[in-house]
Amino acid sequence: MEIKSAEHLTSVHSMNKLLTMGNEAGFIRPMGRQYEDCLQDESRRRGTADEICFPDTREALAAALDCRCRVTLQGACTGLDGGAVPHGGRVVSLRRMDRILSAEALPDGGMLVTAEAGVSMSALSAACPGHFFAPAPTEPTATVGGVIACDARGVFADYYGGVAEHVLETETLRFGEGREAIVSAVLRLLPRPQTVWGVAFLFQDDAAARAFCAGAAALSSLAVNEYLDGATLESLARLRQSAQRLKALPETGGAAAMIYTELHAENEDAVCADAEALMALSADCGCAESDSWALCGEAETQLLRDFRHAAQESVHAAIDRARAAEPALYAPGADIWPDAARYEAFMAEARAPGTPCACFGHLCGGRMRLCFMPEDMDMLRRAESFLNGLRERGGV
Amino acid sequence: MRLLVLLKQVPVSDAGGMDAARGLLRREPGEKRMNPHDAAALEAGLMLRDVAGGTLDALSMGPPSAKDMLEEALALGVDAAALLCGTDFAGADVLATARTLAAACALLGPYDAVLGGAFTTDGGTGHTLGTLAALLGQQYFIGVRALAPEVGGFVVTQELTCTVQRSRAPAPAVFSLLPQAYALRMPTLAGRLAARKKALRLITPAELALPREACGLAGSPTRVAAVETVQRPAAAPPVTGDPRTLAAAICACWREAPL
Repeated sequence: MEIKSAEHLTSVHSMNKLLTMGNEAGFIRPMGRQYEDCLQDESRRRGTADEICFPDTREALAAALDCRCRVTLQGACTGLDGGAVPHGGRVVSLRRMDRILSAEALPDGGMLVTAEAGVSMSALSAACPGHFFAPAPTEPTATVGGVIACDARGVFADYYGGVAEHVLETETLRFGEGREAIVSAVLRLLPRPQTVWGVAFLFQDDAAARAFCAGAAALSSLAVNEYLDGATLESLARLRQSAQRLKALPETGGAAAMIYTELHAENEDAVCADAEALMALSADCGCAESDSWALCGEAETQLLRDFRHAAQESVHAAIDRARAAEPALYAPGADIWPDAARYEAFMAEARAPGTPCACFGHLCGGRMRLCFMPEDMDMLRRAESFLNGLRERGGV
Repeated sequence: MRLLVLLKQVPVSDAGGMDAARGLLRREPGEKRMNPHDAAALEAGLMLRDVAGGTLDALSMGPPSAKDMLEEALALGVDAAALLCGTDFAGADVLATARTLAAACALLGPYDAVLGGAFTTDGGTGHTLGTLAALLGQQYFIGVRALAPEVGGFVVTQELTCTVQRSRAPAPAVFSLLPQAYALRMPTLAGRLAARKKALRLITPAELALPREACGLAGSPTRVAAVETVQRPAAAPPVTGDPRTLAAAICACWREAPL
C-alpha cells in the first residue's frame, strides 16, 4: 500500500480560518443525546465525548482534526475492539465522506475504484456490480476507512488477499502526534467468480472439524474455510429464536463445531471436482452425509455468510441479555493467532477461568476471534485478566 | 409408491407486473425462485418417499429458466424432473394448464399421488390442482397439513374452515398442501453432487397427447378484459389527543367510511 499524500495540518493553508468557518456553519457541535450512537461501537464499550462533527470534504476534515483535544475518528462504528469508542474530546465521524470519486475497468476484468473513507462496503458493491472488494468484512455497513485502519480480513482475505494486496493508494491527513486520517483510497476490486458454492459441515467432534479444516485448505477453489466452535453455534441457536433471517437455515442441533466453506471457480466442473474431494474428506472426518448444507450461487450462499456474520452478533445478544442486570458488562475479546497444533490447549486455558467464551474465524489462516460472554462482573474481571495475560505474553 | 410434485418458478418480486394489452403476466428476466407454497409440497413428497420408498418426480411448466428450480429439486432428493417448455404452452389459464399437466401425468405416470402448493405467488387462482384432479378423475384433498403413507393410500390431515379432519385417502389422489405444513430441507453436498447425474427431461408440446389448440393461450377460454392497478388510498395523518378526542375521531371515520 502506498501513501499518496500525507500532509501535516500546519501545511494546510488557513486552518484557523477553516475551523472558524466550520464552527460558523455549526459543523462542530456539542455532544448531544442525538449522537448517543457515536459513543460506542460493536465492542459494546461505551465512552464519552465533548463534541462531534461530520466533515464532508477533505478541507472540512482537516479543519475538524485541527484541535488540541483528543480526537476519535469514526467510520460506521462496526469495530469489535473499541477503536471507535471516544475517551473525551472530539468525535470526527467520516460517514458523510461517502463519495465514490472514480471507477475504471481493468484489462484483467477487475476495477480500480477511488472511494472516500466513509463509503460503506454495501455502497461499494452497489456501485460496482459483478465485482467485490476482497478484504471486506461480512458487515456491509463497514466503511473503506475502517477496513483499511483495522487491516480487516473478511472471509475471503486468506484466498484473495487482504488490505495490502487490494488497497493500492491512500490519501491521508496527518494530525496530532503522528496519527493519520484516511481521506480516500484507491481500491482494486476483483470480478466475482462465475461459480460459487457455499457448503457448511457440522461435526459432532471438535478435533475432527479442525482436521477437516486443515485437510480442506489444500483445495484450489476453496475460497472460504471458516471454523465456528460449539459455543458459537449454541450462541447462534439462541439468536436464531429472535432473528428471522437466520431461520432460513436449519438448526445446528448441538453440533460440536461447524466448518463453513465456499468454493469459487470459473466453471461448475472445477467446483464439483473440489466438492467431491470435500465430501470424501468430510466422511473421513466423521461428518454424516446429512450434516452438510450445500448452496449454489451468490444469493443462496449469502445465507451462509449471514450466518457466519451473526456469530459476533450472537455474542453481543448474550451480553445485552446480561446487561439487563449489570449495565457495565461488555464482551471482552481479541483477535488471536493460535498455532493449530496448540489450539486445544489454548482453548482449555481460555475456558479455565470459567467465563463462557466462543471462538470462530480463519483457523487455517491463523486468525481467530475469541469472545468472552461474562454473565456478571466477576466473570468479566476473570476474562479481562486472561486477555491481559495473553497480551503480555504477546499472544494477541 | 410413485409420487409427483408440481413446482412452479415465480418472480422473487412482482416488479414485472402485467402486460395490460394481452392480459398476461410478464415473464421477463429477473430473479426467480420456487413458489414458496410449493416448497411444502416438495418436502411432503420427499418425506413420503423416504418413509414409504419408491420414487418422487418433479414436474413444472414454464420458461427454460425453470430448469434451475428443478435442478434445485433434484439436489434436494427428487429422483427425476421434467419441464414442459415451449411457446405453445405459454399464456395458459387454469383449464389449459391443468389439461397440459394431466397429459404430462399420463406421459410420465401413473402416480399414486400428485402434490402441489395451495397457491402461487404470481397471481395464482388456487384452482389448478382441483381442475387437474377432475381431469384425472381422482379425489382432491385441500388444506393438507400432514400426509402419511398407509397400505393402499394415505392418511391425510386437513385444515378445513372450522375443523381439522383426519381421513383415509385411497391412491391415486391429488393433494394441495398448506404452505406451513412442512419446512423444506436444505440440500446436502451429496445431494447437490448427485443431482448432476439425474435426469432432467424437457417435454415439448409434440410429446403430449394433446392437440395444439388445447394448450397455452389457444386452449384458454379465459379472456382478461382489462387490467387495472388499484391505487391504495394514502394513509391518513395520525390523530393525537385525549381519549375523548380519539373516540370522536374514530366515530367520524366510521360515519365517513362505514365498515
